[in-house]
Amino acid sequence: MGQRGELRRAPAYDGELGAAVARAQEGDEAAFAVAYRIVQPGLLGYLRGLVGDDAEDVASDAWLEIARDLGRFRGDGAGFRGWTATIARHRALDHLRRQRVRPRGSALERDLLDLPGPHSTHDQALESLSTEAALTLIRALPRDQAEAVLLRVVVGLDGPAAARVLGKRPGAVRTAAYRGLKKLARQLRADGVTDEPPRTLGEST
Amino acid sequence: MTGAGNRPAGGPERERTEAADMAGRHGGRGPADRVPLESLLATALRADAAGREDRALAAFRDARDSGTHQAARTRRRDDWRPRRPARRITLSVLAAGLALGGVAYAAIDAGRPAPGDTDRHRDRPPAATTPPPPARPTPEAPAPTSADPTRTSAPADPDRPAPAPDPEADCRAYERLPDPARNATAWRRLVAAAGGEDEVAAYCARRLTTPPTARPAPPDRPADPGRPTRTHPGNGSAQSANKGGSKGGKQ
Repeated sequence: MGQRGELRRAPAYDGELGAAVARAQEGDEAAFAVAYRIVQPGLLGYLRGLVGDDAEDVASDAWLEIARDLGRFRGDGAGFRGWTATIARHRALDHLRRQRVRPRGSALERDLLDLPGPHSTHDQALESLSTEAALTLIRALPRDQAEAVLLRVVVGLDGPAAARVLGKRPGAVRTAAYRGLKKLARQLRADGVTDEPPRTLGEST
Repeated sequence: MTGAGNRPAGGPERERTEAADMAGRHGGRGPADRVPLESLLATALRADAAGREDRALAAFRDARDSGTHQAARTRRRDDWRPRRPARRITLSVLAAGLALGGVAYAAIDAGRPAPGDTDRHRDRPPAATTPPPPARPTPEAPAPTSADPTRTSAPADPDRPAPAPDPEADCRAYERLPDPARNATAWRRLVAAAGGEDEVAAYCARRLTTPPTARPAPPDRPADPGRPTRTHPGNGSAQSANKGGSKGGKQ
Protein backbone atom coordinates (compact mmCIF):
# COMPACT_ATOMS: atom_id res chain seq x y z
CA MET A 1 0.00 0.00 0.00
CA GLY A 2 2.44 2.61 -1.03
CA GLN A 3 -0.22 4.61 -2.70
CA ARG A 4 -1.28 7.05 -0.10
CA GLY A 5 1.68 9.27 -0.20
CA GLU A 6 0.79 11.86 -2.74
CA LEU A 7 -0.43 14.39 -0.27
CA ARG A 8 1.51 15.05 2.85
CA ARG A 9 -1.50 15.42 5.08
CA ALA A 10 -3.36 12.36 4.05
CA PRO A 11 -0.91 9.70 5.19
CA ALA A 12 -0.10 11.65 8.29
CA TYR A 13 -3.72 11.60 9.35
CA ASP A 14 -4.93 8.34 7.91
CA GLY A 15 -3.84 6.31 10.89
CA GLU A 16 -5.48 8.69 13.31
CA LEU A 17 -8.54 8.84 11.08
CA GLY A 18 -8.88 5.09 10.92
CA ALA A 19 -8.66 4.81 14.68
CA ALA A 20 -11.20 7.58 15.15
CA VAL A 21 -13.63 5.96 12.74
CA ALA A 22 -13.30 2.65 14.53
CA ARG A 23 -14.06 4.26 17.86
CA ALA A 24 -16.93 6.22 16.39
CA GLN A 25 -18.39 3.01 15.10
CA GLU A 26 -18.43 1.82 18.66
CA GLY A 27 -20.41 4.87 19.65
CA ASP A 28 -17.73 7.37 20.60
CA GLU A 29 -19.05 10.78 19.65
CA ALA A 30 -15.79 12.59 20.32
CA ALA A 31 -14.07 10.22 17.92
CA PHE A 32 -16.65 11.00 15.29
CA ALA A 33 -15.88 14.68 15.77
CA VAL A 34 -12.20 13.92 15.23
CA ALA A 35 -12.98 12.10 12.01
CA TYR A 36 -15.17 14.97 10.93
CA ARG A 37 -12.44 17.51 11.43
CA ILE A 38 -9.91 15.44 9.55
CA VAL A 39 -12.15 14.73 6.59
CA GLN A 40 -14.24 17.84 6.27
CA PRO A 41 -11.62 20.21 4.78
CA GLY A 42 -10.88 17.98 1.83
CA LEU A 43 -14.50 17.04 1.39
CA LEU A 44 -15.57 20.65 1.36
CA GLY A 45 -12.84 21.55 -1.08
CA TYR A 46 -14.03 18.81 -3.41
CA LEU A 47 -17.62 19.98 -3.11
CA ARG A 48 -16.64 23.56 -3.77
CA GLY A 49 -15.23 22.40 -7.04
CA LEU A 50 -18.46 20.63 -7.84
CA VAL A 51 -21.18 22.94 -6.60
CA GLY A 52 -19.45 26.19 -5.70
CA ASP A 53 -21.15 28.29 -3.08
CA ASP A 54 -23.57 25.54 -2.16
CA ALA A 55 -20.75 23.32 -1.00
CA GLU A 56 -21.44 23.95 2.68
CA ASP A 57 -25.06 22.90 2.33
CA VAL A 58 -24.21 19.83 0.33
CA ALA A 59 -21.44 18.89 2.73
CA SER A 60 -23.81 19.22 5.63
CA ASP A 61 -26.29 16.90 3.96
CA ALA A 62 -23.54 14.47 3.12
CA TRP A 63 -22.48 14.38 6.76
CA LEU A 64 -25.99 13.53 7.83
CA GLU A 65 -25.82 10.49 5.63
CA ILE A 66 -22.31 9.66 6.77
CA ALA A 67 -23.35 9.89 10.41
CA ARG A 68 -26.39 7.73 9.81
CA ASP A 69 -24.62 5.06 7.76
CA LEU A 70 -21.44 4.94 9.75
CA GLY A 71 -22.28 1.46 10.95
CA ARG A 72 -22.17 0.19 7.40
CA PHE A 73 -18.68 1.37 6.65
CA ARG A 74 -15.77 -1.05 6.60
CA GLY A 75 -12.22 0.05 6.04
CA ASP A 76 -9.34 2.13 7.30
CA GLY A 77 -8.67 5.85 7.30
CA ALA A 78 -7.92 6.03 3.60
CA GLY A 79 -11.01 3.98 2.92
CA PHE A 80 -13.08 6.37 4.98
CA ARG A 81 -11.93 9.24 2.80
CA GLY A 82 -13.08 7.36 -0.25
CA TRP A 83 -16.38 6.32 1.27
CA THR A 84 -17.23 9.82 2.42
CA ALA A 85 -16.17 11.31 -0.90
CA THR A 86 -18.53 8.94 -2.67
CA ILE A 87 -21.42 10.00 -0.47
CA ALA A 88 -20.58 13.67 -0.93
CA ARG A 89 -20.40 13.22 -4.65
CA HIS A 90 -23.83 11.64 -4.82
CA ARG A 91 -25.26 14.50 -2.79
CA ALA A 92 -23.56 16.98 -5.09
CA LEU A 93 -24.88 15.33 -8.22
CA ASP A 94 -28.37 15.29 -6.73
CA HIS A 95 -27.97 18.95 -6.00
CA LEU A 96 -26.87 19.71 -9.53
CA ARG A 97 -29.79 17.74 -10.94
CA ARG A 98 -32.22 19.72 -8.84
CA GLN A 99 -30.62 22.92 -9.99
CA ARG A 100 -31.00 21.86 -13.55
CA VAL A 101 -34.67 21.29 -13.00
CA ARG A 102 -35.19 24.77 -11.67
CA PRO A 103 -32.26 26.86 -12.82
CA ARG A 104 -31.48 29.89 -10.77
CA GLY A 105 -28.19 31.01 -12.14
CA SER A 106 -25.93 28.18 -11.28
CA ALA A 107 -23.00 28.54 -8.98
CA LEU A 108 -20.80 27.92 -11.94
CA GLU A 109 -22.21 30.84 -13.89
CA ARG A 110 -21.80 33.12 -10.94
CA ASP A 111 -18.25 32.00 -10.54
CA LEU A 112 -17.47 32.67 -14.12
CA LEU A 113 -18.85 36.16 -13.75
CA ASP A 114 -16.57 36.64 -10.80
CA LEU A 115 -13.55 35.51 -12.69
CA PRO A 116 -10.58 37.33 -11.33
CA GLY A 117 -8.49 39.16 -13.85
CA PRO A 118 -5.54 37.28 -15.22
CA HIS A 119 -3.04 39.42 -13.45
CA SER A 120 -4.54 39.19 -10.03
CA THR A 121 -4.60 35.43 -10.26
CA HIS A 122 -1.07 35.36 -11.47
CA ASP A 123 0.16 37.57 -8.68
CA GLN A 124 -1.46 35.40 -6.11
CA ALA A 125 -0.02 32.33 -7.69
CA LEU A 126 3.45 33.55 -6.91
CA GLU A 127 3.11 32.58 -3.30
CA SER A 128 -0.29 31.09 -2.91
CA LEU A 129 -3.62 30.72 -4.54
CA SER A 130 -6.73 32.17 -3.08
CA THR A 131 -9.61 29.81 -2.73
CA GLU A 132 -11.47 31.69 -5.41
CA ALA A 133 -8.59 31.60 -7.83
CA ALA A 134 -8.03 27.90 -7.24
CA LEU A 135 -11.69 27.24 -7.81
CA THR A 136 -11.65 29.25 -10.97
CA LEU A 137 -8.76 27.26 -12.27
CA ILE A 138 -10.23 23.92 -11.34
CA ARG A 139 -13.66 24.65 -12.65
CA ALA A 140 -12.32 25.78 -15.96
CA LEU A 141 -11.28 22.17 -16.51
CA PRO A 142 -13.51 19.58 -18.07
CA ARG A 143 -15.40 17.93 -15.29
CA ASP A 144 -13.69 14.57 -15.42
CA GLN A 145 -10.34 16.28 -15.09
CA ALA A 146 -11.54 18.64 -12.41
CA GLU A 147 -12.92 15.80 -10.32
CA ALA A 148 -9.85 13.66 -10.76
CA VAL A 149 -7.61 16.50 -9.65
CA LEU A 150 -9.84 17.39 -6.72
CA LEU A 151 -10.06 13.85 -5.46
CA ARG A 152 -6.36 13.25 -5.75
CA VAL A 153 -5.04 16.56 -4.55
CA VAL A 154 -7.68 18.01 -2.28
CA VAL A 155 -9.34 14.96 -0.80
CA GLY A 156 -6.08 13.06 -0.80
CA LEU A 157 -7.24 9.82 -2.41
CA ASP A 158 -4.91 7.49 -4.22
CA GLY A 159 -5.54 6.61 -7.83
CA PRO A 160 -7.60 3.46 -7.32
CA ALA A 161 -9.74 5.08 -4.63
CA ALA A 162 -10.42 8.11 -6.80
CA ALA A 163 -11.39 5.78 -9.60
CA ARG A 164 -13.80 3.95 -7.36
CA VAL A 165 -15.42 7.19 -6.26
CA LEU A 166 -15.89 8.22 -9.86
CA GLY A 167 -16.95 4.80 -11.05
CA LYS A 168 -14.24 4.73 -13.64
CA ARG A 169 -11.20 2.70 -14.42
CA PRO A 170 -8.05 3.77 -12.59
CA GLY A 171 -6.32 4.31 -15.89
CA ALA A 172 -8.96 6.75 -17.06
CA VAL A 173 -8.75 8.70 -13.82
CA ARG A 174 -4.99 8.78 -13.93
CA THR A 175 -5.13 10.18 -17.41
CA ALA A 176 -7.72 12.75 -16.44
CA ALA A 177 -5.67 13.88 -13.43
CA TYR A 178 -2.60 14.08 -15.58
CA ARG A 179 -4.28 16.22 -18.19
CA GLY A 180 -5.92 18.40 -15.62
CA LEU A 181 -2.73 19.10 -13.71
CA LYS A 182 -0.85 19.71 -16.90
CA LYS A 183 -3.40 22.21 -18.02
CA LEU A 184 -3.40 23.94 -14.66
CA ALA A 185 0.35 24.14 -14.66
CA ARG A 186 0.26 25.64 -18.11
CA GLN A 187 -2.25 28.22 -17.03
CA LEU A 188 -0.31 29.14 -13.94
CA ARG A 189 2.93 29.65 -15.72
CA ALA A 190 1.37 31.69 -18.47
CA ASP A 191 0.83 35.38 -18.14
CA GLY A 192 -2.39 34.85 -16.37
CA VAL A 193 -4.96 32.31 -15.59
CA THR A 194 -6.76 32.69 -18.87
CA ASP A 195 -4.17 31.17 -21.05
CA GLU A 196 -7.06 29.67 -22.86
CA PRO A 197 -10.70 30.51 -22.47
CA PRO A 198 -12.26 28.78 -19.51
CA ARG A 199 -14.57 25.99 -20.36
CA THR A 200 -17.78 25.07 -18.78
CA LEU A 201 -17.55 22.43 -16.14
CA GLY A 202 -18.44 19.14 -17.67
CA GLU A 203 -17.48 20.01 -21.18
CA SER A 204 -15.14 17.46 -22.57
CA THR A 205 -11.91 18.10 -24.34
CA MET B 1 3.69 24.00 3.89
CA THR B 2 3.83 24.82 0.27
CA GLY B 3 7.57 24.75 0.38
CA ALA B 4 10.20 26.94 -1.10
CA GLY B 5 9.96 25.59 -4.59
CA ASN B 6 6.54 27.00 -5.32
CA ARG B 7 7.60 30.03 -7.17
CA PRO B 8 6.71 29.87 -10.79
CA ALA B 9 9.96 31.72 -11.20
CA GLY B 10 11.51 28.39 -10.38
CA GLY B 11 10.76 27.42 -13.91
CA PRO B 12 7.64 26.69 -15.80
CA GLU B 13 9.28 23.71 -17.29
CA ARG B 14 9.93 22.21 -13.91
CA GLU B 15 6.40 22.77 -12.81
CA ARG B 16 5.01 21.10 -15.83
CA THR B 17 7.14 18.03 -15.58
CA GLU B 18 6.47 17.64 -11.92
CA ALA B 19 2.77 17.85 -12.44
CA ALA B 20 3.04 15.35 -15.22
CA ASP B 21 5.22 13.16 -13.14
CA MET B 22 2.84 13.18 -10.25
CA ALA B 23 -0.19 12.48 -12.31
CA GLY B 24 1.54 9.77 -14.22
CA ARG B 25 2.33 7.55 -11.32
CA HIS B 26 0.01 7.39 -8.46
CA GLY B 27 2.05 5.11 -6.31
CA GLY B 28 4.92 7.42 -5.67
CA ARG B 29 5.90 8.84 -2.37
CA GLY B 30 8.90 10.81 -3.34
CA PRO B 31 9.44 14.52 -2.95
CA ALA B 32 8.55 14.97 -6.59
CA ASP B 33 4.97 14.28 -5.61
CA ARG B 34 4.86 17.37 -3.49
CA VAL B 35 4.71 19.65 -6.40
CA PRO B 36 3.96 23.29 -5.93
CA LEU B 37 0.85 23.10 -8.01
CA GLU B 38 -0.70 20.43 -5.85
CA SER B 39 0.24 22.18 -2.69
CA LEU B 40 -1.20 25.41 -3.96
CA LEU B 41 -4.47 23.80 -4.86
CA ALA B 42 -4.74 21.77 -1.71
CA THR B 43 -3.92 24.68 0.52
CA ALA B 44 -6.31 26.99 -1.25
CA LEU B 45 -9.25 24.62 -1.38
CA ARG B 46 -8.88 22.88 1.92
CA ALA B 47 -8.76 26.04 3.95
CA ASP B 48 -11.64 27.40 5.94
CA ALA B 49 -13.77 24.37 6.49
CA ALA B 50 -15.46 24.40 9.83
CA GLY B 51 -18.82 23.51 8.40
CA ARG B 52 -21.73 22.38 10.51
CA GLU B 53 -20.11 19.99 12.81
CA ASP B 54 -22.89 20.26 15.37
CA ARG B 55 -25.43 19.05 12.87
CA ALA B 56 -23.27 16.08 11.93
CA LEU B 57 -22.73 15.21 15.57
CA ALA B 58 -26.43 15.39 16.29
CA ALA B 59 -27.10 13.04 13.42
CA PHE B 60 -24.42 10.73 14.76
CA ARG B 61 -26.03 10.63 18.19
CA ASP B 62 -29.45 10.00 16.74
CA ALA B 63 -28.22 7.11 14.66
CA ARG B 64 -26.20 5.66 17.49
CA ASP B 65 -28.91 5.93 20.09
CA SER B 66 -31.58 4.53 17.83
CA GLY B 67 -29.45 1.52 17.07
CA THR B 68 -29.09 2.43 13.41
CA HIS B 69 -25.37 1.87 13.52
CA GLN B 70 -25.69 -1.57 14.98
CA ALA B 71 -28.43 -2.68 12.66
CA ALA B 72 -26.73 -1.42 9.54
CA ARG B 73 -25.56 -3.94 7.03
CA THR B 74 -22.53 -3.29 4.95
CA ARG B 75 -23.30 -3.00 1.31
CA ARG B 76 -20.72 -3.47 -1.34
CA ARG B 77 -20.22 0.25 -1.69
CA ASP B 78 -19.54 0.56 2.02
CA ASP B 79 -16.68 -1.86 2.01
CA TRP B 80 -13.46 0.03 1.43
CA ARG B 81 -11.09 -2.45 2.93
CA PRO B 82 -8.08 -2.90 0.75
CA ARG B 83 -8.54 -6.31 -0.70
CA ARG B 84 -7.71 -6.20 -4.32
CA PRO B 85 -4.62 -8.36 -3.94
CA ALA B 86 -6.61 -10.88 -1.98
CA ARG B 87 -9.21 -11.02 -4.69
CA ARG B 88 -6.63 -11.59 -7.32
CA ILE B 89 -5.12 -14.40 -5.35
CA THR B 90 -8.50 -15.92 -4.73
CA LEU B 91 -9.31 -15.88 -8.39
CA SER B 92 -6.11 -17.57 -9.35
CA VAL B 93 -6.54 -20.04 -6.55
CA LEU B 94 -10.03 -20.68 -7.74
CA ALA B 95 -8.96 -21.23 -11.29
CA ALA B 96 -6.10 -23.47 -10.32
CA GLY B 97 -8.33 -25.32 -7.94
CA LEU B 98 -10.89 -25.97 -10.59
CA ALA B 99 -8.29 -27.16 -12.99
CA LEU B 100 -6.20 -29.29 -10.69
CA GLY B 101 -8.60 -30.27 -8.00
CA GLY B 102 -11.44 -31.07 -10.29
CA VAL B 103 -10.42 -34.60 -10.92
CA ALA B 104 -9.98 -35.44 -7.31
CA TYR B 105 -13.22 -33.75 -6.43
CA ALA B 106 -15.13 -35.61 -9.05
CA ALA B 107 -13.63 -38.85 -7.86
CA ILE B 108 -14.71 -38.13 -4.34
CA ASP B 109 -18.18 -37.16 -5.37
CA ALA B 110 -18.57 -40.33 -7.27
CA GLY B 111 -17.92 -42.39 -4.21
CA ARG B 112 -20.28 -40.41 -2.02
CA PRO B 113 -23.90 -41.19 -1.48
CA ALA B 114 -26.01 -38.27 -2.56
CA PRO B 115 -28.30 -38.20 0.46
CA GLY B 116 -25.38 -37.80 2.76
CA ASP B 117 -24.36 -34.72 0.90
CA THR B 118 -27.57 -32.80 1.27
CA ASP B 119 -27.97 -34.00 4.76
CA ARG B 120 -24.66 -32.63 5.64
CA HIS B 121 -25.28 -29.08 4.54
CA ARG B 122 -28.91 -28.41 5.07
CA ASP B 123 -30.33 -30.63 7.68
CA ARG B 124 -27.94 -30.24 10.46
CA PRO B 125 -30.02 -29.67 13.55
CA PRO B 126 -29.07 -26.65 15.55
CA ALA B 127 -29.40 -28.56 18.77
CA ALA B 128 -26.35 -28.87 20.93
CA THR B 129 -26.73 -32.59 20.99
CA THR B 130 -25.83 -32.87 17.38
CA PRO B 131 -25.01 -36.45 16.80
CA PRO B 132 -21.97 -37.17 14.77
CA PRO B 133 -23.12 -36.37 11.29
CA PRO B 134 -23.44 -39.24 8.94
CA ALA B 135 -19.97 -40.48 8.60
CA ARG B 136 -18.47 -39.64 5.31
CA PRO B 137 -18.35 -42.79 3.40
CA THR B 138 -15.12 -44.63 3.58
CA PRO B 139 -12.36 -42.18 3.95
CA GLU B 140 -10.07 -44.55 2.19
CA ALA B 141 -12.02 -44.43 -0.97
CA PRO B 142 -11.19 -41.01 -2.32
CA ALA B 143 -7.50 -40.97 -1.83
CA PRO B 144 -6.61 -44.10 -3.65
CA THR B 145 -8.88 -43.26 -6.54
CA SER B 146 -6.51 -40.71 -7.82
CA ALA B 147 -3.69 -42.69 -9.27
CA ASP B 148 -1.05 -40.49 -7.78
CA PRO B 149 -2.16 -38.91 -4.55
CA THR B 150 0.93 -36.84 -4.06
CA ARG B 151 0.52 -35.25 -7.41
CA THR B 152 -3.00 -34.11 -6.87
CA SER B 153 -2.59 -33.22 -3.28
CA ALA B 154 0.14 -30.69 -3.63
CA PRO B 155 -1.80 -28.30 -5.82
CA ALA B 156 -5.19 -29.33 -4.58
CA ASP B 157 -4.62 -28.47 -0.98
CA PRO B 158 -4.43 -24.70 -1.22
CA ASP B 159 -6.27 -24.62 -4.50
CA ARG B 160 -9.39 -26.40 -3.59
CA PRO B 161 -12.48 -25.00 -5.29
CA ALA B 162 -13.46 -22.00 -3.26
CA PRO B 163 -17.15 -22.44 -2.45
CA ALA B 164 -16.45 -25.02 0.16
CA PRO B 165 -19.66 -26.37 1.58
CA ASP B 166 -17.91 -27.06 4.79
CA PRO B 167 -19.49 -25.93 8.05
CA GLU B 168 -16.23 -25.52 9.88
CA ALA B 169 -14.74 -23.45 7.14
CA ASP B 170 -17.84 -21.32 6.90
CA CYS B 171 -17.86 -20.83 10.62
CA ARG B 172 -14.26 -19.78 10.75
CA ALA B 173 -14.87 -17.34 7.95
CA TYR B 174 -17.92 -16.08 9.77
CA GLU B 175 -15.91 -15.44 12.88
CA ARG B 176 -13.10 -13.77 11.13
CA LEU B 177 -14.94 -11.59 8.69
CA PRO B 178 -17.32 -8.83 9.54
CA ASP B 179 -20.52 -8.06 7.80
CA PRO B 180 -19.67 -8.14 4.13
CA ALA B 181 -19.18 -11.84 4.24
CA ARG B 182 -22.73 -12.22 5.38
CA ASN B 183 -24.08 -11.47 1.97
CA ALA B 184 -22.04 -14.24 0.57
CA THR B 185 -22.91 -17.76 -0.31
CA ALA B 186 -21.09 -19.06 2.72
CA TRP B 187 -23.25 -16.93 4.96
CA ARG B 188 -26.47 -18.15 3.41
CA ARG B 189 -25.22 -21.66 3.74
CA LEU B 190 -24.54 -21.13 7.40
CA VAL B 191 -27.95 -19.65 8.01
CA ALA B 192 -29.53 -22.64 6.34
CA ALA B 193 -27.43 -25.04 8.31
CA ALA B 194 -27.99 -23.29 11.61
CA GLY B 195 -31.69 -22.80 11.11
CA GLY B 196 -31.76 -19.03 11.16
CA GLU B 197 -29.57 -15.97 11.29
CA ASP B 198 -29.81 -15.76 15.02
CA GLU B 199 -28.66 -19.30 15.41
CA VAL B 200 -25.46 -18.94 13.47
CA ALA B 201 -23.29 -17.77 16.30
CA ALA B 202 -24.32 -20.62 18.55
CA TYR B 203 -24.16 -23.07 15.72
CA CYS B 204 -20.64 -22.07 14.85
CA ALA B 205 -19.56 -22.12 18.45
CA ARG B 206 -20.69 -25.71 18.59
CA ARG B 207 -19.21 -26.65 15.29
CA LEU B 208 -15.83 -25.27 16.13
CA THR B 209 -15.60 -26.80 19.56
CA THR B 210 -16.97 -30.18 18.72
CA PRO B 211 -14.22 -32.70 19.19
CA PRO B 212 -12.77 -34.05 16.00
CA THR B 213 -14.33 -37.42 16.50
CA ALA B 214 -17.80 -35.95 16.48
CA ARG B 215 -17.53 -33.98 13.30
CA PRO B 216 -17.21 -35.19 9.83
CA ALA B 217 -14.20 -33.00 9.40
CA PRO B 218 -13.01 -32.32 5.98
CA PRO B 219 -11.03 -35.41 5.20
CA ASP B 220 -13.42 -35.92 2.36
CA ARG B 221 -12.58 -32.56 0.98
CA PRO B 222 -10.47 -32.65 -2.09
CA ALA B 223 -7.99 -30.87 0.07
CA ASP B 224 -7.03 -34.16 1.40
CA PRO B 225 -6.56 -36.67 -1.31
CA GLY B 226 -2.92 -36.64 -0.47
CA ARG B 227 -3.65 -37.49 3.11
CA PRO B 228 -4.41 -41.15 3.00
CA THR B 229 -4.94 -41.62 6.71
CA ARG B 230 -8.42 -40.46 7.54
CA THR B 231 -8.31 -41.66 11.06
CA HIS B 232 -7.02 -38.38 12.35
CA PRO B 233 -8.50 -35.56 10.36
CA GLY B 234 -7.98 -33.11 13.20
CA ASN B 235 -6.63 -29.68 12.87
CA GLY B 236 -4.55 -29.82 9.78
CA SER B 237 -7.33 -30.60 7.43
CA ALA B 238 -9.79 -28.33 9.12
CA GLN B 239 -7.45 -25.46 8.71
CA SER B 240 -6.73 -26.11 5.13
CA ALA B 241 -10.38 -26.41 4.41
CA ASN B 242 -10.91 -23.19 6.22
CA LYS B 243 -8.48 -21.41 4.00
CA GLY B 244 -10.54 -22.00 0.96
CA GLY B 245 -13.81 -21.47 2.70
CA SER B 246 -13.01 -18.04 3.99
CA LYS B 247 -11.89 -16.89 0.62
CA GLY B 248 -15.02 -18.10 -0.93
CA GLY B 249 -17.01 -16.33 1.70
CA LYS B 250 -15.38 -13.04 0.96
CA GLN B 251 -16.59 -12.83 -2.52
